[in-house]
Amino acid sequence: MKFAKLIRRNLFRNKLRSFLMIVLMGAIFFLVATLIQILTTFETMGGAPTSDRLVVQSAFSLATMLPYSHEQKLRQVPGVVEVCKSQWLGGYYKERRNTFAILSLDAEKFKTVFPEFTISDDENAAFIRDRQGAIVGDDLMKRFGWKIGDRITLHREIFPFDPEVTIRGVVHHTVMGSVLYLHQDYFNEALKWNRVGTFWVKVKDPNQMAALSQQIDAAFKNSEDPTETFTEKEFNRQFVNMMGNIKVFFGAISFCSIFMIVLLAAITMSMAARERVTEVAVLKAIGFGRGLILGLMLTEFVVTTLMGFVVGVGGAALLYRSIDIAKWTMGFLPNFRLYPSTALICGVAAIAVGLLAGGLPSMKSANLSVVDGLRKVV
Amino acid sequence: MAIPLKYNTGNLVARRASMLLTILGIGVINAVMLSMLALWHGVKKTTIASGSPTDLIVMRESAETELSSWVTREAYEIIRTIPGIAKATNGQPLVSPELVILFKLPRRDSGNGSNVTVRGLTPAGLEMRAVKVIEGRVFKPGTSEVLVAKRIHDRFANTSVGDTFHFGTTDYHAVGVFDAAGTAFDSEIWVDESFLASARKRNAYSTVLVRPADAAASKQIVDAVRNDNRLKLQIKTERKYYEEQTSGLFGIIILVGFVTFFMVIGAILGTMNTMFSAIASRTRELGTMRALGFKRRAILMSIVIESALVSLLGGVAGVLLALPINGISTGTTNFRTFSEIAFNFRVDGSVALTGIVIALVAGVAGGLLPAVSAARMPITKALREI
Repeated sequence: MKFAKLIRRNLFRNKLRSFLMIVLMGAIFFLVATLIQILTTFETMGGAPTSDRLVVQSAFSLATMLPYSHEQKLRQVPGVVEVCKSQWLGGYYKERRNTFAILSLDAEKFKTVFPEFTISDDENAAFIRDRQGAIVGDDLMKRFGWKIGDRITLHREIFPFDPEVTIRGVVHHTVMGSVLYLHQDYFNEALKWNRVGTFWVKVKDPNQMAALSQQIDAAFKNSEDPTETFTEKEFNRQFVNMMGNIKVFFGAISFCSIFMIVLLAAITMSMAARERVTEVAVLKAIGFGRGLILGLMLTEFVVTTLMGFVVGVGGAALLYRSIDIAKWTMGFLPNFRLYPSTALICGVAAIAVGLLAGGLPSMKSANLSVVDGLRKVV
Repeated sequence: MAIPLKYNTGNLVARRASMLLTILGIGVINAVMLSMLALWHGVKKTTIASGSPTDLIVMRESAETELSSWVTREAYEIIRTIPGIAKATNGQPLVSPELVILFKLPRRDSGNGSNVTVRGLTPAGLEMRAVKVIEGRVFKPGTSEVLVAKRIHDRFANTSVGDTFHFGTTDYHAVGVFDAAGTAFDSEIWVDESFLASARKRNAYSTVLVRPADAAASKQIVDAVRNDNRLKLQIKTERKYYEEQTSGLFGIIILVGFVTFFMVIGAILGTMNTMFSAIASRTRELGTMRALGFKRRAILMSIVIESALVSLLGGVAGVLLALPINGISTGTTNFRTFSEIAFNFRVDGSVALTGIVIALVAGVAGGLLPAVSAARMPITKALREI
């Protein structure tokens, strides 16, 4: 690596230009990494390891609720271990921007049906005992500085009901840290509807899920409230589908952004190549080969784009690690983190940008005739 | 004395290769930004512009959307008799009781189900919501016939005239397609109110729409509804209702803001970089001009103007690049109601102008720093540069 110093000196021969270039790359890679990560997050959403659950919702729409009486019938389906009613309430704490996931469910079934959430037995028992109790994700506890025993009032979003709950326990989960669960009974008492949005069904054999979901839907086919049963992953996926064609949309934005930096980098790099024509001619005159010149310049350009990549993607990774963006997205994308796969894609893109944008200027320099180069006054 | 503009245009021509790249680069940035603005413009058009500024919508007190609202038939009868309501051609008051329900219907492309808003209307409602029927005819009262919005017809299966689609235990027959000029109603299916109520076993309305005779009457009606203790209903203009609905589209709002922000940064840094390069290659030239007697201020202005010129061309290129997306129809879900809303990207004059102005501002901002550094250069040093 005896040329490392040469490359380093060339990288910063025009400090301002390199700085601007790196900041520009950084900004764009930050954007692209974020977009790709959002897509990846959606793609992997609901891929919980304990996928022994089916979600039963109304065949009409998610906004249509199912009668409580369905629960009995669901239990009779062979292969069903446990059934837990659950309702998305939505809502916020004090101000609208403090929106997070608020759900009601059958408290006594929580640990059986959702075993991937960890909660101490004492706290869980306290939650089950108190009809107006709630259990809260650890991120939320931190965010609002809540303690166990705090009494809080939540503001309604969908139903005409402002829940007043006492925090009885803290739940831990790898991704779902911003969620609050309260009693289904408390919710139903307030509204007296005897209807619920979803039934979460724990099954005995995860391999039988497809057959079981058909069986369930068949059982309610001729009732007034037909059902549609999803695996948990499909259930979550439908929210992504609802957003429309974001894949194409985000892809187009990312592609245009990368294309744009290729163009702007090409200008800068040809500028960088042009102002050292004489220098390159001297190098060639003292015996540097064509390939070596090409390699040196390309390395320099790729290093520049990679530095932009480090600034942008590294910045994004640090930022998303240190802040909870769910605060600004009304509870959307909780625990948003940059995956290594996203960084890898951006890294490859950065190298490609360097090669594409720097290719022509480097080639020109490499093919420069010594006589012309030495004669040229820039 | 100012440096003639010709100097700048001449420079652009002399450095055409890198200038073209810059213009194209800024053009792409601007096109992405414009598509964001076009998206937001389309969304705004379908939501905010949907509501009539004068018609009043009556809903259950705590309801935030039509879907979670209900108004009893008794309340409707009370509302009908409030004085000050405009009269229809047949002499009946222009009061429209409406039933709004979500149907989950399969999309044309993927077959995936998505929630479509289905609105049950009476003849009064049809008269109040004057839409253009572009194919077929309006549904007959009391039948299972439906009128489908063009955008829903384009996106959902079995919704063409003559088709039958199935929901629950009922078949619905499409008899017409309507165009609601890009408003939220373009994401709906309309059906006879009484038929929908019996098919879905509903005995209350969702909302009641009231048309006041004039502005004074409007205030009277609002007071009458608010002060009637029997009703316990809220009343507001339809426009206000639709304005409130945009909060369910926060995802789009955040996305538009986020991407636009980065595109503006990209445009500023990109211009800055190009302009620094442009100056670096003509240091001696600028020194000569100073020596000839041009003031520092003149140099500064000249560079800023050149930068603005490049950005302006980039802005125009962006508009041209963004034009093909105009009119593309897409859809998303309003997460407040879980209902599908369709909208178009709209690249119209105001969007194009906003884009060009932002490009121009970014150009001036990006040109400022290079211009200052060029103007500050000592003459002797500049002249010595090779």
